[in-house]
Formats: sequence, structure tokens, C-alpha cells
Amino acid sequence: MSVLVLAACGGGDKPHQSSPPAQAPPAKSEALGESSRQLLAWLPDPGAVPGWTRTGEPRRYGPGNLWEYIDGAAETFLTFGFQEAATADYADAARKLEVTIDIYRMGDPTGAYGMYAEERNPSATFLPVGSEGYRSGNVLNFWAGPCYVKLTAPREDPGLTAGLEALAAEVARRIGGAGPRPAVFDRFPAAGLVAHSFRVLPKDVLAQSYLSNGFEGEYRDGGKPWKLLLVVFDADDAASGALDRYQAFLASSGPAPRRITAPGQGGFVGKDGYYGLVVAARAGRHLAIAVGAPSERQATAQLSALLKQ
Amino acid sequence: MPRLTRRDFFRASTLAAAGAAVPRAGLAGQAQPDAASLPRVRRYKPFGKTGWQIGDISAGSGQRDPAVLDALFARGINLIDTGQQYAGHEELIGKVLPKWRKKVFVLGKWDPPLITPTVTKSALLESLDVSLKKLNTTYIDCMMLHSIGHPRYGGMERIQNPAIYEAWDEAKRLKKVRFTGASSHGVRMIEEIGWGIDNGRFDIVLLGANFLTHGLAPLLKKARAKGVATVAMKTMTIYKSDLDIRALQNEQTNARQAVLKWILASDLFDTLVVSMPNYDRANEYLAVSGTTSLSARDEGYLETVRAAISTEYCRPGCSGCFGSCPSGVPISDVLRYRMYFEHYGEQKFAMQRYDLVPAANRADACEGCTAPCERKCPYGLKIRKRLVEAHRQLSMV
Repeated sequence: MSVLVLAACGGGDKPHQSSPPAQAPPAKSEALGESSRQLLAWLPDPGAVPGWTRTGEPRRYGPGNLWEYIDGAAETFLTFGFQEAATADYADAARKLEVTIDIYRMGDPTGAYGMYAEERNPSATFLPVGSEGYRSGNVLNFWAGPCYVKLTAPREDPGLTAGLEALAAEVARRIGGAGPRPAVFDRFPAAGLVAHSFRVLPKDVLAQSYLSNGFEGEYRDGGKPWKLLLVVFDADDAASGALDRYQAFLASSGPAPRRITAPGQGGFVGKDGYYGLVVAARAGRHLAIAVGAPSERQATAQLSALLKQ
Repeated sequence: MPRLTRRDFFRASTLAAAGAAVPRAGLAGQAQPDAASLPRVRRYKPFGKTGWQIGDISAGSGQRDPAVLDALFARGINLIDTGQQYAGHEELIGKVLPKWRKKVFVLGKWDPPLITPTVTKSALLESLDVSLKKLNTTYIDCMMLHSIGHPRYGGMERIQNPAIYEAWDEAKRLKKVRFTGASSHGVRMIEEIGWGIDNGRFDIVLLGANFLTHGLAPLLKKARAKGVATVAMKTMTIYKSDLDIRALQNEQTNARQAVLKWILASDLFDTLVVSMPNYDRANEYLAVSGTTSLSARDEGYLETVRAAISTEYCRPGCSGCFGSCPSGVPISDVLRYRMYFEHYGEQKFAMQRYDLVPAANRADACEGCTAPCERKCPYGLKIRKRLVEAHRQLSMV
């Protein structure tokens, strides 16, 4: 198989030209649409936070070029409905501190919460900023409205905490509209729930291509943690078909699952090679699945509570 | 290459669909393949001077569920690509890795912004320790520089920072890292990766490539001669965002497999990494493991894809037109939006993307331009005409 030489790919020994990356020019608000102008306005103005100045122009990224900014992480943001990002650098010259603020506007608050939860560090220090936030080392992340916001310093510094929190508070104030987490999580039973364990699963729930629009919580009843998942379909038939398909998947790699008639409209008890015990049940267009629970009784009790809502 | 008529191609496509050996996660009531019959890695190749034999298909970073990762390793995949920038992926691997630690080669990467001309050895080693903790292991088989050759992160001065090599040496001494390397799909991929190979800095290189990207052969030949292992990534870039090519109709699976087969059959790389976020994709991709040549049917699929996008497709790693536009039009991006509009049936998506381009940098500026970009394009794309048309399409002028 012949391979052509693409001479233009390389620049030989020419020095690097620090041209700006394509499609990520400095943002000029007069040339932008309303949503982009609003996004840029959520970045603190130079001097809005005492001691901190903005260094350089804000930068803007869309779905087509987000990878230029965060490369391999872009795919995950797109999965959660990423729309547009604005980012800018800030400095506290007196304390020799630098912070980059990234605001990712997602399609809706569920997408923003989902992306936030995806990167959330459960052992971090949680803060009342936006709807929920946390600080961990040189990072402070939070979500508010349709936005996931990240503040990152190049390194940890004893004087950094106050600056991160002041900048975050200013961004949160500008975004406003900090509402509660998505209401679907209110369905999850509180008993045994691991704090800060909720996740949004837009697709490939349990790595099944036909299970999308899922929500997950982690539980611990003294032993190993296990998961409770809720997958919401558009119609009852779709949920029923997915339940059958998942049962068939488990049957292909282990013992045949046993059908059960409750909770909800019934489902099955099966075994997964990685998670162990699987109990699944459907109620209308909702499919609930417990994986890795310590017993069928505990799994069934939690599924019953989840589907009863 | 044998030429197929359109009739031959679609007849072959139909036969392929009928006989496709790709077990699907079963539909209700259908018989399921048992675990032993599921596709698995069928070919292993020497991996540079590492002493490993690595499967021809390896895992990218697309998994979100630990069970599918466990299943991939059980099916013979023995290399996984990860990085600090892939949200939550190191932690996910950490849930599964202890079980497979001696059988799986881990490619890790520092976060790209961390690699600067001034980053210190201690900062790199601290960051490495964070990754080790997340990965639930005491060592990473290869710790890489992530996304070098990309203007966003700076130039050659980044990778010439001596602190990087001091950190690698120290990490090797502490048995936290065994091999070193770099990844790239940026516009300066060839010279920056080439620099690392020439200077003996890289044991493994991870490069963006697919059947439409050419020009890597001299670099790969040099790597092989020096015992540097080579890994292909971005192999499925043309299917990004699940945008399907309409001409392929119901043949998307076979076409995707043909794209992977091209990499395998070319023998340019020791392995490829591809995202397998669910069991269906894992079955689909592992089904082509062991491929050493392309069939006429495969060539037909590639020809269809090539015909649909080749003259509009700006190849990864090509910087031919970079910086040539006096109006700052983001040439490759606008051409890609046009491709989405015309061939993928994604008119709304394409127009939304174009709307993000500032007015001063839109392609209406190409009217009457002398098109210095075309003199730079190595593929002879009629860039100016295409950009003018793209502006009309994408902005409904």
C-alpha cells in the first residue's frame, strides 16, 4: 500500500509561529450573537474582584473546536450537550497568583450538573457556590443554571483559596439562577446513598448502546458500594424492549436470568460477570436497575422505592 | 486496487451485511452468542523495544462503565490509552486494573497545559503521583507528553524543557514509569514527534491517522528503525459526532470496520487505539482483529467514504494553509462545516457551528481574494470557491 509524502505537514526546522489556533480568535462581543455575548458577560470584568486583573482577551470555543482547548476531554463535554465555552486568564500581581476561568454553557441545567458530577471529586471540600461547588487543591469547580464553571490555578498556593472563592462567587453572581439538582434524583431513596455520588448518563448506560438518558446513585450498606440506575424512555414499549434486551445480554454471558413480577410491572434477577447480582424492573417508561447489591432483598427494596415515585 | 462498479459495490455490501460476523447485543427473543464466540483480539505484534506483544486493537478512552473495560481485557485487549485530561477515565481504570495489572500495558499522559517551558521536575512528579493514585497502581507502563505539536499549547520549547527528562529519569529510577513517549495530532506533529525520536526521548509514539491521512510513512519508518513503538489514534475521526455518510445507507458498520481494517492492513502501526464505549462497538471493532489485507469489498467502502469527503477533508496533521489567510478565516473548520451540511444531512448543526465564527473572520471575505491558501494546500482543494459557497450555504445568504 503506497503512502504519499505530505511535505506541508511539517515545517522543517522553522521556528514555531505562535499563531492563534483556527476558530478560536479573541472574542469581540459586537460580532457575536446574544447567547455568546451573555456567556462572555459572565466572565468577571477586569478589576471586578479586588486584587485580580484579567490578563489578555477572553477566548471562545464551540462544539467544532473544543478539542483544540481540552483535546481528549471534549468528547465527554459534547456527550453532555456542550454548546459554547468562554475562558479567560486572571492574575493577582501582588501575590503572584494566576487563575484561568472556564465557563462551559451546556444545553440545559441537567447537562451542566451531569458534566460537573462527572468530574466531581467526592473527597473535596464542598462549597455553597452556584448550585454546588467544591475546592480541591488548585481547582475550584461549580455548576449554576446551564453552566459548568472551572477555576484552575497552575499550582497550589497557601494564598490561593481566598482568590479562587472570590472569583467563583463573582462568576456565580453573574450567572445567577442557581437552582437545585435535576428533580429526577429526588426519586432515589436516601437510605444508604453515598454523598455526592449522583451521575447523569446521557448514553451507554452499563455500556449498553440501547440504554440512554440514565441517572445513577451509589449505595453502601456496610459492604462494597453498589449502584442504582434509572433509565427514562419516551414510551412504555421502548422501556419494555430495553428490559428484554438487557436480560438477553446477561443470558449470553451467564446463567439465564429469572423473571420476577414485582416491583413495578416486573423484570428479572440475573448475574453480570463484573458487577455480580443484577435486579431490573420496569414501571411504565421507567427502567430501574440495581447492580452489585449485596442481596436480592436489598436491591428489590430500593428498586421498589425508586419506581414508586 | 480493484475498481468496483456501483452495482458491484452495493451487491458486495448486501452480501457483507447478510454475512457480517458481528454479534450484536441481542434483540428480545433472539438467540444470543455465548461468551466464547464473541470477537476477541486475534493478532499480537512486537511493541517496539518494550518486550511486550500488544494486540492489534487496543482500547481508547471512551468507556464510562468499568464492566465493559473488564470485558475488553478478558477479550484479549492488553493496552489501554488514558490521560489526566480524560475526565474520570483514570479512576475508571483504577477500578479494574488491579485484576489485570500484569497483563495490561497502560499508556498515561500528563495534562497538556502542564507541559510548559518552565514546568518543574517536582510538579511533573507530583502530577504523576496523582495519576498513580487514581489508576490504583504503583507504576504506569508509559507516561507520555499529551498533544504535542499543537499551537494551542506552545511550540518546540515545551518539549525541550530539561525538567521533563529529569522527571522521566527520576520516575524510572523510582519504578513509577517504565517507558516514555508522546502523542500528537497537531499541525506540527511530524517535526515535534520526529525531534523526540531523533533524540532518543520517546519509546512510544501515539499519532493521529486514518486512511485519508498520508505522509507519516517516513516518520513511522524512522520510529521502527529506532525501536520506537507506534500507535494509531483518531482512526475513526471521520465518524466524529456520529455523523453518518448518507451514501452508505445501512452499511455504516461495514464501512467503520473497513476504516479500521485499513490501519491494520497497512502495517504502519504496531497497534491502534479506538473508543469502545459499549459492547456493540467492542464487538464491531474486535471482529476485524487479525486483518492483514483489504478485500475488494473493503476497498469499495473506503472508496465511497473517500469520494464523499476526500476533496473537502482537511487531514489531521496538515498545516498547509495554516496562517495563510489575510482575513483570518478558519479555513479547515469552515470546510468541515460545509461537509456536514452537504453530505451528512446536518444542516442545522453546520449552521450553528458557522454562527460561532466572528463576522470579521467569515468566508464572505473570500470574494475577490487572491486565495493564497490554495497555493499552500497540498491536496489541491479549490479552497476559495468552496469557502464562498460555504458562506452562502451556512449563513443562508
